[in-house]
Amino acid sequence: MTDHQSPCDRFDEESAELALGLLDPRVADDLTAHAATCGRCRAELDALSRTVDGLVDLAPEIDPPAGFAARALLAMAPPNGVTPTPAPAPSRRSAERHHGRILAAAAVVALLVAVATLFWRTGPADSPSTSIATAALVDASGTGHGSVVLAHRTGRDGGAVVVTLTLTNVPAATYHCRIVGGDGRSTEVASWPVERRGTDVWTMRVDGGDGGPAAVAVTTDDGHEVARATFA
Amino acid sequence: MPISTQRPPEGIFGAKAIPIGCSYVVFEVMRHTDPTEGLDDVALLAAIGVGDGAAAAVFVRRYQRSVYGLAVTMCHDLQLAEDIAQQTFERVWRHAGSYDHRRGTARTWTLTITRRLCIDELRTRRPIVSNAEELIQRHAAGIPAVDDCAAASADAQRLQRSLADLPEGQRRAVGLAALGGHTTAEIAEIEQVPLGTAKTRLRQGLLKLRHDAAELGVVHD
Repeated sequence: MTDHQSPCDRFDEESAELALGLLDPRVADDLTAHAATCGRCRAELDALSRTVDGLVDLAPEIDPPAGFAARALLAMAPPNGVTPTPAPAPSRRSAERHHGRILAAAAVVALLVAVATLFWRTGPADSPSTSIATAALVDASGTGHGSVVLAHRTGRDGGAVVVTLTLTNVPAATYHCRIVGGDGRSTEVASWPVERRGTDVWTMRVDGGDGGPAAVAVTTDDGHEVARATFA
Repeated sequence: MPISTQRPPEGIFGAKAIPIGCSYVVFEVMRHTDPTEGLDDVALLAAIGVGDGAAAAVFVRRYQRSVYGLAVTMCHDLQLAEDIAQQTFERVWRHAGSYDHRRGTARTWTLTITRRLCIDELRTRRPIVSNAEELIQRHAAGIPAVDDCAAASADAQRLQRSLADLPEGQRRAVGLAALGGHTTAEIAEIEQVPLGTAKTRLRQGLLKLRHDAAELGVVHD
């Protein structure tokens, strides 16, 4: 770049890095300000930005580690966490288009936030500490059927564990969740019908149990173990 | 020792203090069903914007593989990639309300968040370039084959072919910048070419891709 460059020449020199988001923010602000007043440069930036978007789409899809979704949801909506930034008023057309479906979604509002908050509000006091453990829910052949996340909180009043169980890839049936203690004994804590193949997410709070569950198992009505998440 | 046979429809099942075996006590059981599973991305983000945890769960399931895949591709560090993927969804949660579907798809919006987080992390963590060839292998030559591409859509395949047709220097510059997060100064150092050459290669490469895409109707400018 030289002092004799026109704003458009300077823009051309840096436009690729601007579109890629690689420039120093101050330089990027200068160039963006120029583009806002120059139709040619604005069109180039828009086109290059869309090209970059397309390149990002070329990255392969990769399965994240077991329990990632549950951890991400805890981070998105922690018990005492951040609420989303309020949305600006939607356009009339947009609002009409999605109003019905959002209302349907709102019928099950803030599930994870609400339940996590509810659980911890009723949990042990006295500055407890919390540890998180995650294990894949696998069947006897090693096929994955979801994951289990244990949020184990210990305090003066004893232990409490929030079990978040994500069950996937199972046929319609009634399933039972069993907590397996360190002594190998198991206890059923919930059961539920799955009407169609899909994903079910369950959250349960169980108090007590020295050291927390050693495993969480999912069984069918006849006691057959469908899958188990084992914690070291 | 079964202590209850709850067959709940949906929602929270009242707080119970049921003494059971193994000294466990069940307090609450909650089922999250998926009425939002069929929502499109725009509706999902709108629901997330008003704090709908169920919509967030669906959105994470829908995009976790893409987000994590991009982070791994850019960072080559599995733990860092997981952290970035998690940060991506945290930002989606916080900023869903500002998403404008007229400016791009939810997928692009989300992956742009991931890419920017990767660039920020790489700027602070990037080691001094010691093995240029390895970096090139990782990023430029390592651009995924079409079969491995996320969408493997027709657009992605066209773009992949256009990328493959670029002159070698331009292709490597585009790969290093777009998927490696390298600046042109870093590309110049890696490729051992003048800065001006690195800038030209990158710009010409992107312009060629844009030209090809426009001809094929992939980019609508």
